[in-house]
Amino acid sequence: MDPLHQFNIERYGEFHLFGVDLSFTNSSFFALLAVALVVGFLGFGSRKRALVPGRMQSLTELFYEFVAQMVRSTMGQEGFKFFPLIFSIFAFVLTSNLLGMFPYFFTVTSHIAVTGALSLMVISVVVIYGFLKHGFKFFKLFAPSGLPLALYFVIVPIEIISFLARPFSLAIRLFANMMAGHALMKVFASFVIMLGSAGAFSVLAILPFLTNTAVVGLEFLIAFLQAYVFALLSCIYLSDVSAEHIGH
Amino acid sequence: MTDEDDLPKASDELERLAARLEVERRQAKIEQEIRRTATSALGGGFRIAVEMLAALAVGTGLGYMADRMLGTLPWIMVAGIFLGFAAGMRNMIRSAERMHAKRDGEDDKTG
Repeated sequence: MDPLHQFNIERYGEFHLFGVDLSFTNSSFFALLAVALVVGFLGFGSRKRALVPGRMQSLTELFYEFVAQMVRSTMGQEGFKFFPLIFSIFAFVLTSNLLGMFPYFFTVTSHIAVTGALSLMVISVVVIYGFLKHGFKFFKLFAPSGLPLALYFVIVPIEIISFLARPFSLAIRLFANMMAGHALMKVFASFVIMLGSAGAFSVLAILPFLTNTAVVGLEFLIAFLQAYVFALLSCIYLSDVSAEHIGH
Repeated sequence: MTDEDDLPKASDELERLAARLEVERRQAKIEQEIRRTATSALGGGFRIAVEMLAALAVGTGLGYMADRMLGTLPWIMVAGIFLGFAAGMRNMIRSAERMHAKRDGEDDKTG
């Protein structure tokens, strides 16, 4: 009945390497399952390479076009070299979120360790690409030009903090949404059972049941929306450093 | 693409276009749906709130670490809280502007 029990990490056998716990867990299993599903879906859908797409191929093309559209509208054609990264992130997050909607399945993205690693990866790409493209002018991101000298003492720390906050907000947003939503579903489900066994009041159990039905629908929406937001914000962060003139 | 070379029949061409149109139409519908929900008030509000939370946490955390190193607890942390608040404001306004720009762009397209 513990609504947080679903977030427990369970080890399938112990494996330690140089003192680091690398045991295969339910989280690793569902992450691998998500990757396998994405690869399988795309591979299966595009196996015919028909000019006139069949049903499965239409779906994969739809998937591709959707992400391509998002990348093009935020970064332009020039930022299209990041498409593989954005597509992988979107596909992985979306599949993990949706896998978590199955009863008894583990939600990989409900752990901040996973979302944090994803967002750190995105930010590393942003920083490395910024340095490659602009060299030390990259630091102009933190010091917009044309301000009185005294203001720089305030503005620079603020800009640095607001840049460093990006990976945090990216990670927290996804993890908090997934975790809160799944806990909510469990809480309402346990209300149904508690009220259902309350003798004369058991008719009232229909109320949390109806609410939970709505919450499940909302959770599907959130699963999709959060994957979209994660990918979109990655695009926006990348486009900030890929601009010709950095800092404004 | 070889369809210039082997002169496709009109019916083939028509079928191809119909399939393409169907895909485009479905895609446009899905995108519209997502845009609508992505800019919904609840989603937008939560996004903005997380922005503030993250900036405050980073500002406070950096200040605390600097304090620990210099042994000046809590002074740099207090400064960090204020700077974090300012940075959070900055990020909040930035994402609010982004939402506005997106919505206005859509209005231009539809209206």
